Amino acid sequence: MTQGDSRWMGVGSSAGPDGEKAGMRAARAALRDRGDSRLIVVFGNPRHDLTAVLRGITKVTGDVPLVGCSTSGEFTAAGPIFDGVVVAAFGGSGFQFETRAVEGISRCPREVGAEATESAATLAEGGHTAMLMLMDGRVERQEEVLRGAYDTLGASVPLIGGCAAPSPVNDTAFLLHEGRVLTDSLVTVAMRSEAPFGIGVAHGYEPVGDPILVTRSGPGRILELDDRPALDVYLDRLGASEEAYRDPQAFGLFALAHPVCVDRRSGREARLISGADFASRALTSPADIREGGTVWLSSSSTGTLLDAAGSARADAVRSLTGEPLGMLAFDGVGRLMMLGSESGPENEIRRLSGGNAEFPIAGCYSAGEIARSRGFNGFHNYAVAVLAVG
Amino acid sequence: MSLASGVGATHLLAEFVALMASVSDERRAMQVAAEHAASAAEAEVCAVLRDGEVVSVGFPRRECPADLMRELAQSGVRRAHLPGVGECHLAVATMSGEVSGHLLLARLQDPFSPDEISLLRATARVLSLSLTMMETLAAERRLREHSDQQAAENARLLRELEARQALVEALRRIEAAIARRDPLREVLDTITEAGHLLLHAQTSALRLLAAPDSDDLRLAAVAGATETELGRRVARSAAPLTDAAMSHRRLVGVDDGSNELPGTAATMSCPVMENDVVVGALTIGRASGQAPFTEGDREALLALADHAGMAVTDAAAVRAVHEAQLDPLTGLPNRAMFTGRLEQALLDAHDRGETAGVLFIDLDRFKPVNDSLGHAAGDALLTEVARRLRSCLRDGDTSSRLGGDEFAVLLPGADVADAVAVAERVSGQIRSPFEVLGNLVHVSASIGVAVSTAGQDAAQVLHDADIAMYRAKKLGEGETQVYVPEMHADMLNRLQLETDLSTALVHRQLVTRYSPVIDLASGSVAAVTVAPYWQHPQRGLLAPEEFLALSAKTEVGGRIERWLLAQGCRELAAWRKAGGTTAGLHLRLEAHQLTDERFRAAAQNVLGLNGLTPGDLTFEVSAQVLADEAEKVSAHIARWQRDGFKIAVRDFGSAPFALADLCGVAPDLVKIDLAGSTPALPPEARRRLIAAARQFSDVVVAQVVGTKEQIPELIAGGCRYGEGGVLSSPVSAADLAREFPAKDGQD
Repeated sequence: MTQGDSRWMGVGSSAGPDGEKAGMRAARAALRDRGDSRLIVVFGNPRHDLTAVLRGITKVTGDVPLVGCSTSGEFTAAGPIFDGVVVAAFGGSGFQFETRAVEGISRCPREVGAEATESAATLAEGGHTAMLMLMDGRVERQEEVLRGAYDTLGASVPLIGGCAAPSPVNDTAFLLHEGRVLTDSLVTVAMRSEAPFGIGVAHGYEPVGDPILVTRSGPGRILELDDRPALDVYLDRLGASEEAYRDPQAFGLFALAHPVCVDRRSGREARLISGADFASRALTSPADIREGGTVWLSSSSTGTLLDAAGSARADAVRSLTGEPLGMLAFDGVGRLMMLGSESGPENEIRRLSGGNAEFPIAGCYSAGEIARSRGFNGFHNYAVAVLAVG
Repeated sequence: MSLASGVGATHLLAEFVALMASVSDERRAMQVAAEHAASAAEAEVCAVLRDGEVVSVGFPRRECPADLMRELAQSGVRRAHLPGVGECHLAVATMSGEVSGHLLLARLQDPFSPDEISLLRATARVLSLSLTMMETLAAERRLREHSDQQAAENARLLRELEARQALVEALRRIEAAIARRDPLREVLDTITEAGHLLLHAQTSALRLLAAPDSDDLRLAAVAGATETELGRRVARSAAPLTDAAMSHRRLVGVDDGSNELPGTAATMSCPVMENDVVVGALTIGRASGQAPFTEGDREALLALADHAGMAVTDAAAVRAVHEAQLDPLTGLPNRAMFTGRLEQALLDAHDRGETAGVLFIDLDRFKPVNDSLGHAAGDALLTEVARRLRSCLRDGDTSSRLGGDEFAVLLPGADVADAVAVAERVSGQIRSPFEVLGNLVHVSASIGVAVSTAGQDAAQVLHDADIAMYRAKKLGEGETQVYVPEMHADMLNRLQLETDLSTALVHRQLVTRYSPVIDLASGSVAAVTVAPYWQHPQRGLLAPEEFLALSAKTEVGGRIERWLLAQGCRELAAWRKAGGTTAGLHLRLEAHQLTDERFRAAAQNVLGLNGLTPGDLTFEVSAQVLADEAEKVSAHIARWQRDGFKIAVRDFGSAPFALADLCGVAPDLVKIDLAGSTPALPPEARRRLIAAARQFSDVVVAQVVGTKEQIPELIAGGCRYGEGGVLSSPVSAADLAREFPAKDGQD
């Protein structure tokens, strides 16, 4: 933990099987008996009873505002923790946080995005602001949520956040707000600090081959690529195994490792292919892949992914005036698969934490990442998005 | 990297075109364009500026500096400070054509490349075209909507028109039914049925007051529901909406159903008026889920209720007319209605070159039935006669009770043969015994038949039939006579006679004639029976039979009676004074005189003036009068007797009567009619007749003694006196005076 001015940020974690105890331990580690806590951010593995986790944390933090989400894994500077709990605590009079939770995101994503970010208006004038957004990763039209937020906030407030990863047990993603565990929701924190926030995002995927024309698409679905069924074009081009053509699980794993890229002025962004409709031979994606546009198939390597992590940290820290108090990191779960189970994740964490094993970074493996510090776009897949707290 | 020209820009534009194709709303198109342009250029801000309208991204909601953006778009500056965003590079593209305006991009980092500006312009053109198309489509849509609205309005008007036409047609049918005088029940059924169909009702019910002053209602007609309750009486409180409509005298309605029509939701009720008096209400109910009633529905209900009122009012009027034109006892048309139908039949007959037949029917012996068995029996007899009359007739024939025991029958298109055939049927039917209140009664009908001739009116034809009936009556009971013009002449003669009679009194043309009542054993005059004779200037001396019947019930008749009484008493007194006789005076008396108190007083007065006593006078009453009106006259007879007058029963044995009818009187003498029976009674019968007469009085007088050989037989049988026939002819007072020996006669 690093302390600057009166503000502070601490991170704690626990990997114990008992949710409540894990919560308590992680919270104690994050607070370390420091007073004036202002915000608690929780990344909890959905294998835990998150209600119990919350109970444990609040036993330590009391009524300090709390947000959080379920993840596909968590990490601190010490390394990845699967099946654990990571708690980040922010304190000190230099911070102001306003939390809000709005349900019904799958039905009205743009409206929920707009409503949940209205809390920014309650922040005091002056200082630096950012909006932390945690949302259900299973909903479609996730970019619409950000457009709703942009409607409310305009370009003046940077956005950071990620999508709650679903539990492999019941395919349900959870959001945490105060003492409640929510689904189909958006949880936000309007943040104000005396020092700047820095945001960085990068993915490390490169396009492969020729661009493919999206000849027919609809909300959440790519129906045709190059005038052929999208599923077949996708698998054919990537030389997928026979199994992936017919087995949803095999396809899921394959698709996780093979995002498509869309063209952006600043480069190509990776987009998750979340599934397939074998009957209509369509691909499904929570991202908005528009008809008439082009996509590329993509590939990555451990090196490019790790470089991307370093780049994201660098971009985030660059706008700070000094060393960061700490970081929140949202790391696309697809990247975790590419980084492998050996040292890849640890190496990435080291890139994110600047090699400092004590650096207060709270990270999660997410089902979508949010980072907008300039321009209009802010939704990412297969990216690592970093909020550096100056 | 900067936006590549070529594939990237082309595809971004293609994406945008595809996006534009997916939106149809102009404002949404501007929003999508702003977002797409900002996204493609990674710009913080994009604004679409049209006439007075700005759509932007990059500013918090409602915080877009629209004026600044418009100013920047038109100024062409490349950099500007935007509130909340910072110092930005700018790029502007102009939308031209039918939709004009600007597309303005603002980015914090990096100035816009020519390719980006080119893409922005292309985007602006696509947007302009899209907006133009949308405006056109919107205009078309508005036109179409207007057209659709117009079509919908036309359809609504058409439906209204059809509904109104259906209503008008229904009302016309109802009016026609009322005009045709269809049965009220059928008219009301038509009305409730129309309410059910035209108002799309579940139930349509018409309730009317059970009676004018009743608090109960009866279900007069119903449609759309079971008719099992038809006619059932309920209290007004059980039909609350009907009650409310009747009480408030206006249309009332509820949206959530009433208890009155089960299973209905919207319900309304409208009062039904008969001559401005509320007599019921028409109530309509719709099932739940059906549309509420409209103003048009309410107007339709008002019209239907109005027509129900018309039907009820008309039916009441018809009933009143009907009742006024029908004989209340028998239900047959009365004289007025009969005359009206006869008039019509005569017109029809004239048009078709046909004739119409009329029967004038007078019951024989009705009076005794009425008097002996009471009015109820008389009424029952008349009712049954009416029924039998009807049974003899065809459809289209009319039977009528003209009054009393007089009936008439109209036979349109009938000739004489037809009419006689009907008359015979009627006669036969009436001759059959009637059972009246437990009594077997025999009556007959005297029938006059007349058939119309060209130019006759109803009164004339009926008069002809009356004349024929009169002739039939003269012939005896149960006779039928067909009118011939000679009868009319006879009638005229009679009328002339009647006129002449009244002058006869004035001109002293009436004279007395006396029939002596002879003591058969001694041959002496026991009494004299006085009768009026008419010394007619042209026709000579007329016997009383030739004119008395005519005058019997007229004022002249009364005057003749009084004259005869006075003259007889005067002449008797003169004889007495002359000492020629002590014989009494016999005088016929009609039934009405028996009951006439003034006549009795006049008689006493005359007697007193002439020095006579009541015992000098014997009033003869026909046995038929006693039989016909026994009950009525018996008390009067007793009264006359109490006053000292003597009463004789005459025509005993010839007039139809029952012995029982005489049991109520105690005559002072009985005159038996030996000549009235045809064929003449054999001696044994005469003996029995005398014996029968003697059951009532010891003094028996034989009227009209046929032969001198009968005299010993009469004396032997107990009949001591005789008159007329071989004994004497009526003689004048002067002639009689000459024959009176000076000795005592019978009392």
